[in-house]
Amino acid sequence: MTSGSDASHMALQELLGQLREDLYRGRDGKVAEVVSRALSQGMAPGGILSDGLIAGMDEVGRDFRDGKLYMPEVLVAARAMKAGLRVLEPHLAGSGAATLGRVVLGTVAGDIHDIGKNLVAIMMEGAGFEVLDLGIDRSTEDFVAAVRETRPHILGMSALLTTTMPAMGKVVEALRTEGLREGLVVLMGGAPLTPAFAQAMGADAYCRDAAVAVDTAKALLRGRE
Amino acid sequence: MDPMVRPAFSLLQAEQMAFVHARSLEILSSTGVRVHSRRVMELLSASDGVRMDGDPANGRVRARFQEELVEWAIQAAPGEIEVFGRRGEPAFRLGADRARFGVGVTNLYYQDPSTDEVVPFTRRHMATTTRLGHDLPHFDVISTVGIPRDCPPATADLFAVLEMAANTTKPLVLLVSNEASFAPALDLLEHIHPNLAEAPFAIPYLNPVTPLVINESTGDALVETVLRGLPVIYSNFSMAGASTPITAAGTLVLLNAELLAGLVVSQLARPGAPVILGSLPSFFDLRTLQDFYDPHSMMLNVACAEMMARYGIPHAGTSGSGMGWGADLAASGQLWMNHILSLLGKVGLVPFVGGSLGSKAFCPLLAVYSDDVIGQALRLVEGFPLRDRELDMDTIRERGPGASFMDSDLTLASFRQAYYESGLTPHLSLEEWESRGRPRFDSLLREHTLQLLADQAPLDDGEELVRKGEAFIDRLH
Repeated sequence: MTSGSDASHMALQELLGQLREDLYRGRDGKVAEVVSRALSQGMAPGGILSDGLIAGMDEVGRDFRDGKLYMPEVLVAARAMKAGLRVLEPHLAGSGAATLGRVVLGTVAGDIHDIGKNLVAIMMEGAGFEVLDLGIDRSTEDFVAAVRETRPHILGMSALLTTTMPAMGKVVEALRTEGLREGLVVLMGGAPLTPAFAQAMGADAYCRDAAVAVDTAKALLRGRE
Repeated sequence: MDPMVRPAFSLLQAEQMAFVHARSLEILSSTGVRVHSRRVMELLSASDGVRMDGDPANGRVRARFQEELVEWAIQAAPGEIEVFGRRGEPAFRLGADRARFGVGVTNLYYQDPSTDEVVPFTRRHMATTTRLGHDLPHFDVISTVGIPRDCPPATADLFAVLEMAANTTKPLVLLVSNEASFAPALDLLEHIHPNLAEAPFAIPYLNPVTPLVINESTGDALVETVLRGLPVIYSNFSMAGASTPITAAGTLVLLNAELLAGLVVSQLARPGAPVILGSLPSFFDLRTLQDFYDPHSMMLNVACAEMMARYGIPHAGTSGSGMGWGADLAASGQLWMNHILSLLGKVGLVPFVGGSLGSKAFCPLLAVYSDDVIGQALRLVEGFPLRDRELDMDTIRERGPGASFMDSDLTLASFRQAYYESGLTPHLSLEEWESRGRPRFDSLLREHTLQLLADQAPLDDGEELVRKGEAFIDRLH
């Protein structure tokens, strides 16, 4: 026999399980509906975010990394995550619930390739990061200004062209000059990059794909806690 | 009766090509292309057949093309292009010839043929790989094999071009990575060969950004090349499922529309400008996020070639390289599929053979192996004559059952050309193979490749060209 509070706890746990399942399956309408129901039943917004949406996306990210899911499945899960967040966000303000961290992303000057960078943005958002996507062909000054204004935890830079890769090093150098490098995690990615090149350009880590970027961002931020 | 027996392969029926063309025109007139190049914007703005939206001042506009303009461009472009060797000798006519092969392209690494180790591509590698392509008989062009990473970025492209010119007399396909080096690279070639436009031995290769973006460096370089009177390859690279629709049909039509947009720009820059069009239709693994060649890539390559043949535009396609981890079975299968289909289809240039490990590393072993594959594929597609004189009926009649044909007149007249003899694979009996220590084919390929590299000697004018080119580069920088 269970007490009333146990039963209520179990019901909420079931609701969170349903939320994670719907998110995993990319059912955006259902996710929004379950988030609403959880709120109406008194569940804390921060708990819905961390134990429902973020935990669900963690599972998606893990299964993508392990080759069980395909990118389109990740994208629809991320879409479902956004649908849930739209319902949740008005309740998060003032609730004390925080994102995993703030991320600024962009493709460096002279480069207009953005498929990889966009995937990183989607997966970062899905994992619970707040993402500011600067877009393509962004100058050193654009990156520095964004870091100065938004004070992100992470800066991610992408390049597809061998000729634009060195621009990443210029950004890092400019951040150092401006006193903005310390405490900032700098990630680099792009098809022609290598770990050695990223290191030489001043990165904290090279990320070979979007899933690795999320894992790396989490690990590096944990290490700085 | 046609006296020649020839294998044939065709893909698109006339109605299907008309469908692809109509849908391509629809994309160009409704969706259009985004243009980042001011030189291209100026050309398009001056045309009545283009509707421009957006503010050129912010560096990006959307251009939508009227059907009549596209049809005009198709008619205006030449159907054949004579390509020359560096010493002015005609090499082949694109658009009126079989598929022609080349080694390439823009690899960041070099896969050592002794050890399979992957090391950064250097200027020395550019010289030796160019020379390797020069020495292999079935390669007709040399594409920019790699990006020399031991040279400063500002001059790496120039030294690459110089080593290409100095180490072969075959035509060159030029890929310049640094947009600031594009015009200087052409200047360098014109410096060492002032009659470049009269007998072009170098063809710049340019990519738009799929889907439907003519980026600044590509647009500028396209106009620059055309105005210099050089032929140009305008080729797009797709990742089906990511940058184009996931289906073969959607990819084919979208890529075709992009190519037609590039054609229009070239013809507006100079009506009658020689342009070579084609695609590298890769797929995108949505699980591992790697691009790769699917069997449909090879089919799309042929379909694109057929569309270009319909338009009367010379074609440059994909080369089937990049799969595999060196000269292995995976790479071999792709090369075979590509080379046979290219020769059977209407493919023009197959310019980028030899890339490995996702086209990041040039593998000399693979280039040497491919040379042998091309030789066998050529043998296959040449077919055979079916005439009385080749039947040897007289010998059959005279010698009767149980006879030998080894000393018949026909055998004596043709035995040296009667079948393909590979320089790589000796015909060994089981006993011979055992007695030689059971050699593996890949070890023979390695020995042969290393010998080819060891035997390389500078071309007679190579050193002088390097001196002249280095002085030119010094003056620029």
